[in-house]
Amino acid sequence: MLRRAVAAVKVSPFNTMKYLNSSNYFEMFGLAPCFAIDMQGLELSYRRLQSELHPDRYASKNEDERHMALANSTTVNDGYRALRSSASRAQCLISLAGWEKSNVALSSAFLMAQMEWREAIEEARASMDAAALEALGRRLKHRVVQHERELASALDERSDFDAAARYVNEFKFYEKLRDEIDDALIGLDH
Amino acid sequence: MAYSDKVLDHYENPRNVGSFNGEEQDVGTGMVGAPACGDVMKLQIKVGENGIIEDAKFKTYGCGSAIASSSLVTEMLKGKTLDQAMEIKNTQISEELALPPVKIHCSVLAEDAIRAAISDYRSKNITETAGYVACKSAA
Repeated sequence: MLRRAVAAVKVSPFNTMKYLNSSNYFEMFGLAPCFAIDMQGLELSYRRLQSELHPDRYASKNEDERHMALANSTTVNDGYRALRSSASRAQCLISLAGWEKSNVALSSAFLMAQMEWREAIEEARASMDAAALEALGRRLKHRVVQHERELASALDERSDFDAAARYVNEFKFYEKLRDEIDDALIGLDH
Repeated sequence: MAYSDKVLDHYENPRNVGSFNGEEQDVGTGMVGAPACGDVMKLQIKVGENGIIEDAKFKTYGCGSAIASSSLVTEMLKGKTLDQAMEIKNTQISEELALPPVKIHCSVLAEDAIRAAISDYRSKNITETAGYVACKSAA
């Protein structure tokens, strides 16, 4: 897998240019397909690809090549975004593993905890309690770090895609909580 | 996005907001969530001895359509038997509220909540019902 990834990076868009394949973003950036990626490596690889695909380099090329460079630049941006965020990076790995996404049920314990989070935020918002909201924000941050650790372990150590898909599903709820807390804090400022 | 008048009505005056004690034997609780948007919905039913839903309550954290869907559902449930309640389809909810295609999933969530609440009630009461039937057939 790793060897293929390195080979893919060597395909320079200059002479043998072709449309980049968006089916494996890890390969596109020359990264090993795992959750705990080297973020700096991603950053460097992204910048290098984008500078290679910069429209200035294609100003004198024919229209087909200019179009291809532009399309590739978009693909590189999509890939960068997909790999930067934990939830979508995990989703990329789950899809790469060919794991069919059936209906991953959320546990009632998880949903119950979500209800409690939302109630606590609602209460703090209603009583205009900024300190309580900030405390909730810190607790949430801690929870998300723990959640990422569990997701990393499911993907990189256990290859448990079933559990990983569940963690990915749960991520969205934590993002929502983050938004709710931020909204409430902004509301207090006005 | 413009909400229909019915959605706005349920959103501004939600019916039956609140909770029953989920520990009670005659209460069924359905908890559901939508990973796509992070909405959470709790729907509870209170079932009479005759097997008819006497009361329903909900608590939803989500968009206007999710709140309206669950509010409407609590009204639809009252007076129905569990079997009748199981027949409620998300299309009835979305048609009644004139939900746009992007909000259909809110009505699906409400339908899931009904099923979850009924299944919770049934799992709590299964032994009692079976015992009752056994006694009756023995008599």
